[in-house]
Amino acid sequence: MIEIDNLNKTFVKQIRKKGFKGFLFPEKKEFTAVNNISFNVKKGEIIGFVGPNGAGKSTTIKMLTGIIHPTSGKVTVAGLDPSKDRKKLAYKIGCMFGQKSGLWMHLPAIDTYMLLGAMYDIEKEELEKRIDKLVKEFGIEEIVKIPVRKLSLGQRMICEIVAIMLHNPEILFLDEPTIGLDIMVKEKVRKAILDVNEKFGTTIFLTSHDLGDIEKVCDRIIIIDGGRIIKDENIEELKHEYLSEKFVEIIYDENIENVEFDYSIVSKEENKVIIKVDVSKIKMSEILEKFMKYGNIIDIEALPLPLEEVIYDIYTRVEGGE
Amino acid sequence: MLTEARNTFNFVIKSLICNIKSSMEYKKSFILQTVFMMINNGFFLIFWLVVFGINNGNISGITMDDILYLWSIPVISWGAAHFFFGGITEINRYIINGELDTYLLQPKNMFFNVATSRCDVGAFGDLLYGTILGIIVSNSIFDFIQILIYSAIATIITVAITVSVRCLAIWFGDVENLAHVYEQSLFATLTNYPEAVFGKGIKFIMYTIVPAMYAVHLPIRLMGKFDIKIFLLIILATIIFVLIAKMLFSIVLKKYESGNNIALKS
Repeated sequence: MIEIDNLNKTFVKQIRKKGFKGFLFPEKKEFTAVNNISFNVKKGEIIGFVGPNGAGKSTTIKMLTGIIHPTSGKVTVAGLDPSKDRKKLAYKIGCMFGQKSGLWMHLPAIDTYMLLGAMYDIEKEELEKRIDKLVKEFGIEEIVKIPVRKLSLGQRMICEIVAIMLHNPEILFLDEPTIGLDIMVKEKVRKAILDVNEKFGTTIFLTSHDLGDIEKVCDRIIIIDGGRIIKDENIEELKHEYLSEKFVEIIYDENIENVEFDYSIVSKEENKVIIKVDVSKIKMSEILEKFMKYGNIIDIEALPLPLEEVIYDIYTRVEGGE
Repeated sequence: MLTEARNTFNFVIKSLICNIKSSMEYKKSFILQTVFMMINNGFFLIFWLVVFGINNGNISGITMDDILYLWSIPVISWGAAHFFFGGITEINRYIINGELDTYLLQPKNMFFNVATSRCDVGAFGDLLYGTILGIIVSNSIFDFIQILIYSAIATIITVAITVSVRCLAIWFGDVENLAHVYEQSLFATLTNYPEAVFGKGIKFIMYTIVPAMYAVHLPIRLMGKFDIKIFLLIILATIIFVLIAKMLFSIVLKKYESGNNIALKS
């Protein structure tokens, strides 16, 4: 469904040096955003494409959707070259970029759906059938008649997903679909993404900073940093490899800043200490037992490693040649 | 080709309907903006009525009818360009903020998609005001049809020059003030005064970089006496300004660099 072969993208940036001469004649410097990446995505796969800010995620998605052209390399999406067949490709893909809304804020979502019908040349009867089917599928029959500005964020996000599904796209590109959402809305969006994949067999290419999105939705994860792919792995394997590592936050009933712990500590502040553990190797009861000797524990919580931590860990291993 | 043209037309109409429906969500605001725009335009007419009153209805051969034509064609065309294609005034902002991404992801013609993405509500007042003046000044239905045809041509010229000047943002960055000066202080001003008041130097500008002659003054000459040569000259100039706009817009699409801004359609 997606084939990328040795894809590169470089930008020329102007760098202004100090002084009047520097202002008049800025230095031009080439900057590589995407550096020789290759991967394939099969039909019906859900791919998590992750990496820190500036890693090259958005640049890659923009090349896959035809917004910007690659400097070199080959891209095929749904059998088309995005830089040559941008308009044809638009009929085969659906895109959602974070909180950038595709809906008209002052109108009910149904009006945007009718406009999208004209956008994608869908006959009126066929469009009504598709709207009816999707609206029932996602249970938003009444919601689509209310102006979008009056909807809750969760309701709006579901309406957005229906909007990008109207023209039966083969691939969905979702760039940070859960950014800025609370946990309840995140869950709704994640469920909607899984429903779309299951019911329509749609291939999904998702970027997110939220490891929860990747963990709960994706089959496979591709990690990019500095424009290079540093990991391309099945999510279950990655879970086994990294997601068993957690931060454990232990809270005592008194200040423990002066206590010397016989364990590797991530941070220590007033009555709180944070440690990093591999829960597949050590049981929580053992941790509790070890740390009880330093004082009275009033709370303990295990938190998943932030994505940046996992990426940093993978990155340092790659740099170290492991 | 024909199917694509039909589909694009269908999309433009649906987009305009969405724009009008969206504006109508705030009916009172829509009505107020329309009325105040008409009052604003009305003050200029009162000014001319007073001037003609003092000068017995004739100033160096210029009559009140000439002024009514002068306030009908440009006001209809300005209103139509900004009401139906309000997105044209956003092109420079879309370029510098990297906001063309949304339109590049859609399969429709980029120009029509961008142009119909927004409507300037206040421009409806211009459109209505110009049409009423056109009805008042017309001696026959044929006169009124002529006004509408020349207004349509002037609308195309207004859209073309607006697109051209706003596309300059791809090289110069922020051109909002430049565009404001060009569109309102030059083009609109030069279309709102009788041709006779301008000297040769200004007329040269009106025939070249600020095409007020083709949009308004030559059509007004034709309202008095039709001349096929002048008519063809207007058509030729319109085609040239459209081609310039098309070329600049194509360059924008080639040179455009995407951004990461977050925005909502209104």
